[in-house]
Amino acid sequence: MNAIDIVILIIAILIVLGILSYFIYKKVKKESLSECCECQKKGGKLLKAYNKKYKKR
Amino acid sequence: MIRFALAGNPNSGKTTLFNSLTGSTAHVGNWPGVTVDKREGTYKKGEEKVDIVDLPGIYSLSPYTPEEVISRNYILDEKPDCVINIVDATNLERNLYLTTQLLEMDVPIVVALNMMDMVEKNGDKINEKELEKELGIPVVKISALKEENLDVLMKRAIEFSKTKREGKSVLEGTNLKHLINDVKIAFIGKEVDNPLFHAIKIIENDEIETKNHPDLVKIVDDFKKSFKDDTFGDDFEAFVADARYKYITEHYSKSLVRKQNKGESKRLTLSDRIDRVLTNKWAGIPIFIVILILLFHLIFSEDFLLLNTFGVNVGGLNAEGEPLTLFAGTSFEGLFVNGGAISSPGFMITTAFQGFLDWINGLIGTGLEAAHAAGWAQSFICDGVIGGLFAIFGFLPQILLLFLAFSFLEDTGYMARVAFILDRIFRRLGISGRAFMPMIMGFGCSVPAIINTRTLTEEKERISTIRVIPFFSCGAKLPILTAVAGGLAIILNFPYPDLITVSMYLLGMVVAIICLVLMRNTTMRGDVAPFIMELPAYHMPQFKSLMIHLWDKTKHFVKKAFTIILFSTIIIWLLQHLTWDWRFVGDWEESAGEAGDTLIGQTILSSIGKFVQPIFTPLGFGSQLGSMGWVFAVAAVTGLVAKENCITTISVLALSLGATGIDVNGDGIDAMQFLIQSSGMDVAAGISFIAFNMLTIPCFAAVATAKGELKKGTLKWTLLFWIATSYIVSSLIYTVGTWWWTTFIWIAVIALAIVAIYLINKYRDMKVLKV
Repeated sequence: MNAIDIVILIIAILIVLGILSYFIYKKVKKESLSECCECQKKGGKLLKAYNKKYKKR
Repeated sequence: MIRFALAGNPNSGKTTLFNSLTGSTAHVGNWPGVTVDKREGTYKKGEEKVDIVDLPGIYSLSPYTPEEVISRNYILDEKPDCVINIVDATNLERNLYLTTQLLEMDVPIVVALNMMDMVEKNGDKINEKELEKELGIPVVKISALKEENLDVLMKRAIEFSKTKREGKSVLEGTNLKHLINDVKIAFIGKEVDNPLFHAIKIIENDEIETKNHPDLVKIVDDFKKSFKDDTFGDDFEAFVADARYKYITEHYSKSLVRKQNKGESKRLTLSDRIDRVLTNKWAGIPIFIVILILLFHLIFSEDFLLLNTFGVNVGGLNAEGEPLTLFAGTSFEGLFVNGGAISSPGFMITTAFQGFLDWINGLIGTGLEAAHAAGWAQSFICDGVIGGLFAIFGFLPQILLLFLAFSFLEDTGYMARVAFILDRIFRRLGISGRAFMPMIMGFGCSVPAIINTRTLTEEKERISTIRVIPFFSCGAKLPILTAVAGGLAIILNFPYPDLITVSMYLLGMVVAIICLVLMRNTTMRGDVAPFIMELPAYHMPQFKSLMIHLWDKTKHFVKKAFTIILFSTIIIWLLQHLTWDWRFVGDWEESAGEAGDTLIGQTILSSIGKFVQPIFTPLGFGSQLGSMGWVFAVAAVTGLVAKENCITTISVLALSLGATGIDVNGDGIDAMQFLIQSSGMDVAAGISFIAFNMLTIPCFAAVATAKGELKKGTLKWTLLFWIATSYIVSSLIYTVGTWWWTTFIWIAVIALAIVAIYLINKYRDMKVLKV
């Protein structure tokens, strides 16, 4: 095996393990894998900006 | 201590008012779930302390959503001393609809006209004295945000709470007056509180009322026999809703004096004039269909100006008698002119993008060769990872263009109108018109379409819509349709393969409609929620917001491609190139020939394919195809990862099985033609193959998205639904196409199923009535 083959093999294994770990992590933390979590983050930022703008007197 | 409740539409400022009155720090916003349960606080700034309950935002008191039930039950059962109805003064007519329902209850009500600062900023004026006179209850102008006039509001509410109030209805001037009176008397006889409110609700066929007082339903049903309205027939619910809005327009709206109306007669706005055409009773739907066809034509057509259809070839014929294809033999083949026809803008962008991807693929391949990478490494990177990912990315321009087009239509305000037009058709199937948007988006890609179902509030409707979205063939299924239709057309000498393609699109839609009807009459039974929406004025969307929207979608698409699809591509490649004893099977250049093609039949994937092959026998592409049948089974399986994989797999395997001159990155027509002829696959089996791939479980990305959007435990039933539907439809196509007499057997089976469903539903309805 050449060096490039070994590098490709290692990267491929890391990618597979990495993606698997990502899915397992999301599952363990009970986070959504779809767009839901992105919207929630956005929503939270907008809410903070709104509360900052309309401060209670 | 006296107790008040705050009731009003979402976004009318209830929570802002609640916070101002009670000093609470609750969040403000329209995020789903912020105010679902009631929250309590105490007002201590006046002479008397008052307990205040903030009810969920609602549009009416009819029990279609949990929020409406919570608010209604609180007022009826907990009997607050006063209800403060917060009305958004900038949207007076819409907000007063709820007010007309609250007035029917025997409870003191005070109207708080909120957002008066916005009204004054617009230059409009509201005569609250006139409104007070018409409503018969106190009306106080406030600004909850700026905390203006809140003390006046509470003072008047406290005073009014000490009086006794009897319900009053705006329907007293309608044809239902006597019926309302009769039912009200019946409720008084039963010593039910708020008899007027209950009487009107039962006339509206309210679910809670009909369940609690079935004996009084008879009075309404008897009246219905002799009643018929010209517009609404005997649909009392629609009649009552219309009557309420008419009353609001005639009596309450004159309290509002708009700036532009001063001294000027009312003129039709530009939006009104456009609506006269676009939402016309007869022309509305045809116009919408034409817009859709133009949209798809703009994005997907290879013959934009329909030149080929009329026998015209741009650039004439070359020396070999073939029509002109620009950049032939390069990565950008067919960029502007393809087969003598001018490509559509979407097709041009896609071709350019695919050319760019091919160029990158070539660079990487050259780089790997220069680095003396082993054959397996080159195959893994170029044919596996890059080939797999780029197959998805190749369609990205068209998917995004379609998404952009629909975003544009939505942001201009047009889609809101179409939702109302289509509501009439979909309502009979048990689906609100709002469901049509995600379904149409399914033509581009199922992933954003499934996400878009969040606009549907009713859970069963949402599940039903998610299940049928994949039947609206997405862009990724185009390669399958093109290849099989093209292959069959060549064999049969049929000049219009597009006809087969269009028929398959229509088949998907027909199957979706039938499945919707089935679901709404079996597992997803339920009423369709009324569809109420404010129509915005037409306006040009902001370029910046469109681009931000598009960028968000691109990011999500890319993220999904580099996770689930990349992972799946690597695994599929491994299974396609390894035998059970871990011998590597090279790509088609190495595998072709005596030793190679037998190795292809020994890979893990082919073994799995041969194992599952008998399952597809009733569908026409199983054991009856002999030693070649597993190819179609394997293609269908790889298509689960990404539908494009189906044709790539077909091309690769066709070459290894003896086909020559196949372009692996081509449209797969040659490969499919070879396999159809070699395997003895007939037309019925070919159509069945298309149908199965179109209707079965969609790609992993769509499945992952569906899982994220569905409730826990629902996905497995959805997967089963997809498998069952694709299997039944495909076997129907194959058996009827091969043995015509089986039509009668199918008709008998379907008829029996319909009768069984009807009888079961009748039994269930009778059981519910008895309980």
